[in-house]
Amino acid sequence: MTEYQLSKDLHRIALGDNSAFERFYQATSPRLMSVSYAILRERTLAEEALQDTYLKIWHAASDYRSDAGSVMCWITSMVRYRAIDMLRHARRQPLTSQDIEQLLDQQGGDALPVTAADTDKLEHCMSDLDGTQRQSIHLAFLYGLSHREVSDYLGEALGSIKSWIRRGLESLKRCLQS
Amino acid sequence: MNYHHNDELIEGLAQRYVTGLMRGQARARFRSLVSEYPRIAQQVTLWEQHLNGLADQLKPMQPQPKVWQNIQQRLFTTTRTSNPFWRIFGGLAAVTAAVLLIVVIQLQTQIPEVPVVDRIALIKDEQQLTLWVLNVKPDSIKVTPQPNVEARNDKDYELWMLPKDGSAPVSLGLLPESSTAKALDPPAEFQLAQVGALAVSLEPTGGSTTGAPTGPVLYTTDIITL
Repeated sequence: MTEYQLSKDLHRIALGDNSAFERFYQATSPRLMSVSYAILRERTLAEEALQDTYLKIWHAASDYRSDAGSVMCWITSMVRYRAIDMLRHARRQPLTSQDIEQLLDQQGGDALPVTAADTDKLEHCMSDLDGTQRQSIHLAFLYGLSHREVSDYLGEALGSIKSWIRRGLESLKRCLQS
Repeated sequence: MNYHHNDELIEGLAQRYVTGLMRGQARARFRSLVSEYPRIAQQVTLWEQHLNGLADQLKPMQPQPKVWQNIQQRLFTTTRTSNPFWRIFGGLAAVTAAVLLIVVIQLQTQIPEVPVVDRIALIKDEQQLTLWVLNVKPDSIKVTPQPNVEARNDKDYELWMLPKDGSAPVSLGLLPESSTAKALDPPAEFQLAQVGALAVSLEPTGGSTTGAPTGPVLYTTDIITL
């Protein structure tokens, strides 16, 4: 489903159109589920976060403004923040390399072309970062690891991790805005 | 701290918020700053736009069919749609994304000759953690707060009855935040048969002074009679 169709359906959802909501759910839930699961790593919890997110989408559909980014960007934030809030109650096992392999899409995403150009640029800019910076940002952003957990996973000092992430994000921003 | 005047500080906080590295209380506090200061919100949006594309790398994953069924059930099989107050409160509640479930359980006492009916309402958050236990009698409500209640120094939680006939909400009193039980003394309008549902709003210390909820309605209710 294209961004245009998603935002059209979102407008319908704001008017209470349940069939638009179902279409929207079918198109977007596999991606939001993967985002939620990567952070929570437990199916029941991930589905709970997903449920809460779609209830919020139903109620807040009229709040969406296109200047706040694409629809996909907007709802991705919603599910991420819900999942991160739920981490407080989740008892997670430490992340293993196997977990990461399982969660990553080897064939490249087929579900939702967000806006290909943006994604390409992000990929390019991420690949410009040094390995540890890139890995730290991935671990925090995609897998919901805290500074402490990133430091344990990579076996590096907490202080170094903090500054790596900070500097990595700065370089990423410069590259994305260039 | 003057968050809204310091660009570098704002950006650092927005980065930590969006990456998920900001946790717990700090996260909740920052979220309120985001809704208060447009410049902070702008930074957050910017970083979401920068980073959310990273999620493209994850393998899409089909949720179980029951997820959609639960969503439909939670949206369309509540008393909310039939009562105009639910629409108002429903919208507000969605903002906080919290759901309250009140289960009314009728318990028969052990004296068969004089059956006395107690009603117990459990106020739960969306994670099914019980926040308050309400023992409801025809003319009084005893509230026992549970450890999961987030104590607020600057605010009070106020309990409201939403009458079945759709008339204005009636305050039933402030909910205690610490561990001691408290008996609420509801006004004369409070009659069990007339309670359509209950709601909890966040009010300035001492409760709403207008007679109507003024703060966000944190929890709205479905009543299930077992």
